[in-house]
Amino acid sequence: MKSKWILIALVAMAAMLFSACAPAAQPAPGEAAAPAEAAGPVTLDTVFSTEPPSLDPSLGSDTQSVWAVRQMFMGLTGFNEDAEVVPALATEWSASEDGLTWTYTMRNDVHWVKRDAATGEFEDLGPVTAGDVVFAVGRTLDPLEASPYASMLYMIEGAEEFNAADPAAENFEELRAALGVTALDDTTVEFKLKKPTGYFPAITGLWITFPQYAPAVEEHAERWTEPGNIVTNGPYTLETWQHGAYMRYVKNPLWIDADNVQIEVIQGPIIESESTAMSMYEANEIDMMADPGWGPPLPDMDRIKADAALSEELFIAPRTCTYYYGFVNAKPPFDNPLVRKAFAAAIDRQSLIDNLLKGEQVPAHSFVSPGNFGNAAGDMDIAPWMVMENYADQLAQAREWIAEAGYPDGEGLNILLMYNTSEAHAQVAQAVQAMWSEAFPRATVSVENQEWQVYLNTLLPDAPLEEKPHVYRLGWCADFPDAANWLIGVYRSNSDQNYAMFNSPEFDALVDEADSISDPDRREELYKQAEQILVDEVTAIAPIYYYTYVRLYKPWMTNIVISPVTGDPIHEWTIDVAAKAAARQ
Amino acid sequence: MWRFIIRRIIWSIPVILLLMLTVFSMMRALPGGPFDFEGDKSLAKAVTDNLERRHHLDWSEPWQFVSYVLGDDVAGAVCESVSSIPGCDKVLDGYKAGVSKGVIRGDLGMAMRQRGRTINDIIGESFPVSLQLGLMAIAFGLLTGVPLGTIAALKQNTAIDYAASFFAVLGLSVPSLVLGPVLIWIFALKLGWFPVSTWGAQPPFFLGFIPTPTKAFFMHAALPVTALGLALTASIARLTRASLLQVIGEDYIRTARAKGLPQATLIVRHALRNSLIPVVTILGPLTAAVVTGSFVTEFVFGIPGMGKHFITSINNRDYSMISGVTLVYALLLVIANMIVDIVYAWLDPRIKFD
Repeated sequence: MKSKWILIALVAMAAMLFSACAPAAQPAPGEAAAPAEAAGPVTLDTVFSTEPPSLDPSLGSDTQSVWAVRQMFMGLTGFNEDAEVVPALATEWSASEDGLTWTYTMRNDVHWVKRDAATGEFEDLGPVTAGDVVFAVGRTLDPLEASPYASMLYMIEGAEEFNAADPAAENFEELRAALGVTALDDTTVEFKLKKPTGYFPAITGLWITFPQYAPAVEEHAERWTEPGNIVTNGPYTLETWQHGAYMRYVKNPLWIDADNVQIEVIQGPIIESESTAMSMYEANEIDMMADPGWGPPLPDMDRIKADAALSEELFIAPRTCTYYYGFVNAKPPFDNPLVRKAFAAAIDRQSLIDNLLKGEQVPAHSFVSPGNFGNAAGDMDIAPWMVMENYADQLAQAREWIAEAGYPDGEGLNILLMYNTSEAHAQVAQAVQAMWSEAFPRATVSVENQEWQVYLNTLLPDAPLEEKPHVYRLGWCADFPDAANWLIGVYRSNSDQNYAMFNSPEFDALVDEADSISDPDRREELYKQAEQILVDEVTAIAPIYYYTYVRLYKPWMTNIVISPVTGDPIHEWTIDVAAKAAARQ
Repeated sequence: MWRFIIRRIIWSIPVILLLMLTVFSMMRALPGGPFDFEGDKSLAKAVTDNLERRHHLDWSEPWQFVSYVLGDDVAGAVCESVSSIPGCDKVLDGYKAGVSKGVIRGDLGMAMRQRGRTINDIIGESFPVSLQLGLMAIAFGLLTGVPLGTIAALKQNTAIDYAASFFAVLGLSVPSLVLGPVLIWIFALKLGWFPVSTWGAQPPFFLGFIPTPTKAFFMHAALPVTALGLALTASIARLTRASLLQVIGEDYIRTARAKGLPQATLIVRHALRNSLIPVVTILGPLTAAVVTGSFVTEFVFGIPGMGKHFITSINNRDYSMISGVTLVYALLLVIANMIVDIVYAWLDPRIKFD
C-alpha cells in the first residue's frame, strides 16, 4: 500500500505540536506572565475581572475602566474615604453668588508623563493646565466621541445642545465653541452652568472631566490609551496591556507624591471566573479578592467565615449601592399605595442577609445608600416599618394593610415578580416569593426571569404596561456620591430610569429645589423629605439592602485605603514584601 | 482532486453569505440594541444616538448589511448615483466616516462594546490561543482515545473493555464545568504541581499560532488540555471501539487472518484503518468547534481565547462581534469538512471525489 501508517500521522501531528516549533524558538517579548519574585519591584498581584472596555477617561463607564482611569489620572477634585469631595488638581473652588459660575484654581506642579514602551523611561511632558481640563470636557461632550456618560455633564451651559447636535449640522462648530467651560489662565478653569448645581464639585471628581493630554489623543486617535501612547498625570501608568489576557501598571516616578508611593507595580491576568480567582488567591498567586478583580464567591462565604485564617482576611466595608424591588405604580393592584406598603413590609430583610447574601449587608429602608451626601439611611423616621426589630410585628402590619386595601389574606391577588437572569437574583426572588406567600396565603405570587437587555426593555417607562411585571428587581450604584444622582437621576417623574412610573409633583418640587441650591443643610433636609415621600408615604419602591464590599486581603497587605466610589487609591496602600515573599516560597 | 476542492469552495460562498445574513437579521430581531444601556442604567437619547451613529445603526438594515459585507464606500457610491433608493439619506450622511471596509475586504468591523478595537484585532489575539488549546486537546483526544477504543474492541466483554467503556462514559458525562475546577483543586491547590490558571504563551507566535514551547507553557497547558481533551477521548474511544468491532467481523479480515498476517499488522493496517472513517467524520466538525474556543474551559482556566465571544457578544448585542466569530467558525467548518472528505478517499480507496 502506498499510504502511510495512520498512527504515524497521528504521532506526527502531536509531534509537530509538541516539538516542531522548537527550532522556531525566539526570544519571546513580554515573558511577564510568571509573577515577579521578591527581588523585583514591590508588586500588587491581582486579577482583573474583565477586559476594560476603555481606558479613555472620556469613554469609560464601567467599574473596570473607572478603576483604571483613577489609578492613572487625577481630576480637579477627588473623594476621600467618607465620599466627601476633597481637593486634587484643584486647590480651591468657589461658586458665584447666583451659583451659576464655578471657578477652580489648579496647582501647577502636576506633570504629564509618558512611559516609553521600548526603554521604560518616563518622559516629562510639562505641567497639566486648565486647557487640558477644557479639552477633556469638550471631548466627553463631543457627539463624535459618543461618550456614554456625557449626559452627566448636561448642567454645563451648552453641553446638552452640543452633545445632542448632528455633527453634519452647519452650526456644529458654533455649538462646540459655546460650551460653558473656559481656561481663564493656565491654572484657572471656569464652568458656566445652566442652573445652580449644589453638587457640582462632585461632578468635577467624575473621571469624564479628568484632564487629557491633547497631543497624544490627536496623534494616536482611538489608540491613544495603548501602552507607549498613553500620557497620564496620576500615580500609576500603563505598562502592558495584552488585550483580553493581562495588564500591568507601573508607578509614575515623576508624580507629585511619588516618594510616598510604596507599591511600584500592579499586575495580573484577566480572569472572568470568580471561583478560579479564589483558587489563585488560596494558592497565594494573588494578594487580594477585591476590585479590580473579584470579591470572594458567595458559595465560599460559609467556608471563609468558618476558616481560621480566611476569616481573618475577610474585609467588609459599606458601598454606595442599594438593592431594591420596584413596584410598577401604574399597574393595578399596585396603583394602590396600601398594596405596595404591604408587599414592602412583608420582606424579612435581615433573614435574606443572614441566610442568602452573607456579606453583612445592611437592611434598607431608604433608597439613597449610606456614603452619599443627603442619604437618609440613619433616619429611622423614614419607613421604620420595613426594618422592625421583630419581623412578626412587621408581618402583622403588612397583613393589616393588605386587608385595608381590600385584599384580606391576599385574596384575589395574582402578582408577577420579575428579575434579570442570574443565580443570585433568583435566590432572593424565591425567598421573597416564599415570604409573600406566607404573609398573604391566598395571593398567587409567580416569579419570572428575563435576560438583561430584554428585561430592561420590558421595564422602560414607555413600554406596554400589560407586559410589565408588578414587581421588578434592580440595584443602583452612585455615579457620584450625592443624593441628586439617585433621586433626580432615577425617580424624578421625567427620568427615563423611572421604571416604577412614580409620579409625584411634590417629590419633583423637592428634588428640583435641592438641585438648585448649594446650602448643604437645606439640601440634606430636602432630600430627606423627598425620600420620605418616595419610600414611606407613597412607597414607590421597596429598598431591600445597602451593599457592602466583601473582600479578602492577604495578611501582608499592611495598609488598605478604601474609596466608596470606584477606584481605591492603591498609591496609599502598603505591602509587607518579606511576608509576601515568604508565603510564596 | 483540485477540481473537487475548487467546486467545494465555490459552493461554500452562498452558504456563508446566507449564514451572515441569518446571523445579521437574527441578532437585530432580538429586543434591545448594543447601546440602550450601560450597566444598570439606561442612556440618554442623545447619547444612544451618538453611539449608534458611530456604528451606522441609524441606517436601514439592508444598508447596514451592504456596508458590513461590501463596505461603506460601496454603499455610498450606490447612493451617490441613485439617491432615490429608500434609506439612502442616512447613508449619504454617514458613509464618509468610513466605519467598514466590508467583510469582502477582510474587515470584520468595529467592536461595539470595546472602544477603538476592531473585531480583526480581537479575533487575531484570541483565536491563536484557542487554536493552540484546541489542537493540543484534539491530539490528546486522538492519542488516548484511539488506543483506548482499540484495546476495548480487541478485549471485547472483558474487564479491560468494561473499564475502558466506563472511563468513556465518565468522560462524556462529566461536564468540563465540573472537571475543570476538580482538576484545579487536586493538581493546583492540593498538590501544587501546576499553576491554577492563565495561559503560558503570549504573542507573537511562530506562523501566527505556534507558541514558544517553554516549560511554563506546558505547565499552564496541562490542566486545560486534559479537561478539554478528556471529553474528546471519550467520544473517540467509543466510536473507535464500535466501528472496529464491526470491521473485525468482515470477510476480508478473516481472509487476512487466513493468509497468516501477524495480529498487530492485521489490526493496525487492515482493521483500524477502515474503522477510522466514523472517527474522521466527527473529527472535522469537532475540530472546528474545539479550535474556535471552548467557553467553559477557557472561562474556568482564565484562558484569553475566543470561546467567550460567542456567548458574551450575544448578551451584549455586540452585532459585529457575533458576526465575526460566527464567520470564523463557519469558514473553519467548511475547511474541516473538505479535509474530512479528502481523508475519506485516502482511508478508503472505494470513495472517489466525483
